Amino acid sequence: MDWPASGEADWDAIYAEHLPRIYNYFRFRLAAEADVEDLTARVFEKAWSARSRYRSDLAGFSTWLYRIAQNVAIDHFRSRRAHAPLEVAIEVAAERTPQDDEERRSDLARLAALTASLPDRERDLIALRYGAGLSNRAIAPLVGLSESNVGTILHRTVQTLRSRW
Amino acid sequence: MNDEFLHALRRDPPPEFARELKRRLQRQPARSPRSPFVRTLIAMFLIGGVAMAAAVLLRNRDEPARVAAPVAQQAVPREATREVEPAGAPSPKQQATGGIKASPPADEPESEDLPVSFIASSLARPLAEALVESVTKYTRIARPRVMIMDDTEALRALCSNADFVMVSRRIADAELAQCRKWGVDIVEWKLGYQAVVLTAGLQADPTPLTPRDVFLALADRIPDPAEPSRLIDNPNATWHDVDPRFDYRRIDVLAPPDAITRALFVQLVMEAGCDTYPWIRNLKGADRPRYLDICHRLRSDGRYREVEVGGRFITQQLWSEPDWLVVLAYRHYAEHRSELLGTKLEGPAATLATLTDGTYPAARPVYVYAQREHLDWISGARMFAYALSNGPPFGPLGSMRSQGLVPLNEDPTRAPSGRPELPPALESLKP
Repeated sequence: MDWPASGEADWDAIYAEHLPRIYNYFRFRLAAEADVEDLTARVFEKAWSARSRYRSDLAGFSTWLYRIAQNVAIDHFRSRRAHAPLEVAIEVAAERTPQDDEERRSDLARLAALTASLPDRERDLIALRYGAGLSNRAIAPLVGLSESNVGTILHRTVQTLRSRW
Repeated sequence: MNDEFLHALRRDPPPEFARELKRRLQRQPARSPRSPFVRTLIAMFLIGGVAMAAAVLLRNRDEPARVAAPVAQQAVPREATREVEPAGAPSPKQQATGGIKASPPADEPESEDLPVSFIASSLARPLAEALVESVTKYTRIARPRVMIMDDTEALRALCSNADFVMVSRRIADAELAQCRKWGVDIVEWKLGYQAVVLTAGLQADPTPLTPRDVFLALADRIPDPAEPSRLIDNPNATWHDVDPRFDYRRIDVLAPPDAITRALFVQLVMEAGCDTYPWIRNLKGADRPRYLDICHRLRSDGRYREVEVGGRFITQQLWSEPDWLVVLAYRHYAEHRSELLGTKLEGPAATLATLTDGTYPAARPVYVYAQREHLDWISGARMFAYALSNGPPFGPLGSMRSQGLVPLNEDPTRAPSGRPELPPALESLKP
């Protein structure tokens, strides 16, 4: 997708398409709702303010946007390395939501606890694939792997998670 | 745990968050990209500036006293001083450059919102486009693009991200339960029906036809009677060739040259005939392109023809050609009912009552579904909801009628009275 040089409708479409993806990318990476919103907002603010620096000849728009998201995630983990997934699980469990929603959140918290033991690359792959809903082809340039390698690593990672679930 | 489970953990961002972030972005001014020419110009000025500063510095070092005195004594004109802008103030050009959208003045209503996503089945597509056209014509909301999916895919999308779906069947219990399980409340509008009628002039042979007869008369290729699992070019020239119970009348079926009537005819009549062959019916799931090729491709040897079917055609030509059959949209048929034979397809006659109770076979209902929550936080979605709740003939249902919709409870005397009430969230599938 090209960056919209002008016109609001394109930006609206991009916002509508990518907001849920970026939001879920952070949900899978962090599983903490408050931080997820903050980081999602940061990505869009950075993207918008830096749009003049985006060069369509170097990367597709999605790739550029998800690189920003990856960098925002890295910065976040650097600043909060000491505390991550475990407090998240408590935070999630404390929220009052309808039962089904609660189950889903608990599943996410449990997944976060399991993925915490995975290497960072695998965690990022899971978040890009299942959170952002990107295809293996779209993920490949973001993580510097071939499309088939992305598929293989994801398959193995899901098998690992399944065995520990 | 599998792919489906992991995907199901996704959730839409909270609407308040999405709205607030968008507002924040709108307030943030964009840094407009500089053109290469401007960049070069700036670079030249900078380099030139440095060179001049260096030259001045060198001259100062040589003759410090001679240069310093005149500069100190020189008076700066007052006007010039007044014209100097503070360094941080934006230029008029900068002020004019908005963000995503310039923030509106306080007295101007905000027209911002997320674009509405609209999905329709292929059968309902013309209706969905008429609805979109009607709603966006007089409002400021962004025109949504109608995406096409089959009914099941569309209803699945409704539970995840879609704002509106228009489909040709009611949502199933399991689908509704799935949406509710994911915390998505659904609202429903039943708009009416799409239907076609296969009919003839009053003088025509009234023997009813089955969908299978119609398929064998009009498909481009049909199963070989000697070996039904093999397809052959359609050899049938008369209705007697199709089935010996008919007499030797030539096969002549005419239809208006509009894509909607044709689509309805092939999907509602030809497919029904096709499905009487189990091996073809099985292709529907196993090899859909082949299934569509067999069931939707009409013969092109002149037995099926597209002609302008106006009032004169019905009153004069059909009367003088009793062998001709004609495919009409229900609305057109109803207008000329007294001059036509009736329904040639076996089963109940085409009436509003048989469309409503579902017994007339060549008809499909038209339902629109929306996520209840989206109506609260997407103003465009709310506009669509009000339009759908505003009955015919004043609402968009009026424009959908021209696309073949047979609206429910059509009452030409009914006028909209203020803002219509939106339907409540669908709790269960009560009739």
